[in-house]
Amino acid sequence: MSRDTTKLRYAESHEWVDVTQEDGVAMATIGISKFAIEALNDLVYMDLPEVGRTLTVGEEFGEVESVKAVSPLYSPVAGEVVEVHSDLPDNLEALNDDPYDFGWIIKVKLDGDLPDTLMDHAAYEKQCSQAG
Amino acid sequence: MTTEESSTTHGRLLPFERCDAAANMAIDEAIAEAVATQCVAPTLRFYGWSRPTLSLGYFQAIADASPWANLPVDIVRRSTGGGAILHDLELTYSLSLPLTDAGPGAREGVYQTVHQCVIDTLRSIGVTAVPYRDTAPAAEAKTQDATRAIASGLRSKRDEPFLCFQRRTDEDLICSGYKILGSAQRRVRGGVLQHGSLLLQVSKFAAELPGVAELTAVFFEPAAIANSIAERIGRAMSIDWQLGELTADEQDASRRIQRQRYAAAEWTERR
Repeated sequence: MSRDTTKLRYAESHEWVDVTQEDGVAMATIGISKFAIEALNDLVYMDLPEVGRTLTVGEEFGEVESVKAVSPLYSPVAGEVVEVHSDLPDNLEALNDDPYDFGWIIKVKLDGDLPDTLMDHAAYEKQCSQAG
Repeated sequence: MTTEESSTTHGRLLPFERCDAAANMAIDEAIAEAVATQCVAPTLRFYGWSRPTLSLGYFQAIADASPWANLPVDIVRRSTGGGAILHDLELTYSLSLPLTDAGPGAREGVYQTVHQCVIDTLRSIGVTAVPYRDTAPAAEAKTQDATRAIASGLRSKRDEPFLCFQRRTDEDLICSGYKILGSAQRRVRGGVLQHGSLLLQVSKFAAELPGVAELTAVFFEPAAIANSIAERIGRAMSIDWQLGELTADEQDASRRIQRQRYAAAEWTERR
């Protein structure tokens, strides 16, 4: 089942967040938006965090190399990394086609509420349109 | 105040110096962080290397550097992407700029501006260089890439040559068919660091890569053209360079970063 991008939350730094309840625990699935992937252009490498790592809001959790630039990935939420998409770094080409389903990067067991700074789909679309 | 004055930013130009590999990389990172947090002005630094050094792109494998392992060449891992560079008879620069927006990825405009300034400086001393995108091989490669992309639906850059100067991207500068300038970036929170290397002469440690001297018979010392390039970058980016030095905080940060990262085997051999 495809994720409904209009129901996701977005960080200013272009990560998306999908929160679901799993056995009564709030889990955040995190990826990079289609807008960002298209702007990054030709992703070549990706670093993922270790499972079990605790992230704070805004903390770097990974890195990507696109054509001629290494860019950090920032965690939009606080919590513990419980799963990483280990197949993704070897299949980065697929991110272009499927950033919201195959393109998930990490799953985080949420610690607390989502930050107020996360945008809904309309606000994020507005940010992207203003960027160019 | 004139319009021109009001739109000009003050910047810091550091004097040319030679340092060892770990110090060079740590200084650049400390500067980039200080610029991104707006503790210091945008900064341009030209430098050399106290010993011949192979710098790996951030994601490159140390195993691919094995041909240099038993040579008198230091090895360091950069924070910026791209391919490995043999720093010997070349001019390296770092440019650290603050960013006010959250746009992702490389800043193509920074590449284009700096490289155009290098083109203009080289032209003033009789050397002709052009961006790779304006060359015939680039046009041919683009046609082949388009055909491959349609055929497979996939694109991959992972099979690129190990050495930066054997790779080609649009903004690389080409002289007589050979790459003489390549640059790479790292985004930091609130800023961007751009590294670049202008190959002046062939190194005995990378004999397959001719420099400007071999390609054009024009010789010059690295520091001799640094100021000319800086002046052009200043004009192009509306930055008024003031000769400066590292702050005490940057010096402390660079020593810490050098110890924890660039001088540490765990960093260099991390992949």
